[in-house]
Amino acid sequence: MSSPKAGFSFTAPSHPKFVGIVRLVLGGFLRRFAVSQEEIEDIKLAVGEAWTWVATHGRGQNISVECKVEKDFLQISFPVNRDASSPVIEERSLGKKPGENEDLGLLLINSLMDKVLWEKQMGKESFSMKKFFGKSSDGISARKN
Amino acid sequence: MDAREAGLDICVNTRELSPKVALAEIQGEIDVYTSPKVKEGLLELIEKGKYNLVISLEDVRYIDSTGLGVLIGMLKKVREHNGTIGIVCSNPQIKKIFNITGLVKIFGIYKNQEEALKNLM
Repeated sequence: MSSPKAGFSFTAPSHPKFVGIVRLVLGGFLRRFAVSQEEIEDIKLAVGEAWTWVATHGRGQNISVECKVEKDFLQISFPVNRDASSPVIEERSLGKKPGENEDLGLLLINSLMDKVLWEKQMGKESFSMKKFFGKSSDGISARKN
Repeated sequence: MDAREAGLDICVNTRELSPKVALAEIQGEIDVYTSPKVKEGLLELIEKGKYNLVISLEDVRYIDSTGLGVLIGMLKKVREHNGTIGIVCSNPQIKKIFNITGLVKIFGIYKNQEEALKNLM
């Protein structure tokens, strides 16, 4: 398996006031790569929504974010320490029609990112999203716009 | 202490556009942390009997699902009084969010305040 081109991870308190900081850090990081502004804004929104979801349903005072940039895609993962009673973002819920805020959030994540995965490995759960560069959320090359 | 002094990157300014229409100009980023402040500002207008609102997102750099939820909630409230909400927005990123979520069919989205006012009168 090849190592990522670049990557970073950070942990921040799960309080809502830190969601803006998370967006700021991510935006600054992505600007160092050949990523269009439209793609950066899409990723910031999807990550903000995921952060909000994890902060609402996760357990613990901190949230970790792992970000790695490969040649043609970006992957962002949130390891989740979830309450047994909390819902899981399953594939079926990702296709739900918007109604409540949470559904709108999942709809946005699903629309703006190219791949959304809920993974369970070695007893640990994580929520991860992939964005392939050079494609806008409507499937048209962003750089041609 | 205003919102910015409290560390919130949000500001809601309101004024009357006509006897029946009020304007709310929002500046900043609307997310899970700042949306209660937006809700408070818009509720204040509704409680004063302003049921036709023009909400300007011209100076909004970011809006997430909690911000959209606030706008939907306010629309439900004004509709109880036969009112409506017009959104002023020219930022393509914000317009894209309204398109993806289908809210472009629920709210009137206008290029400027004058166009919104004309449609709300």
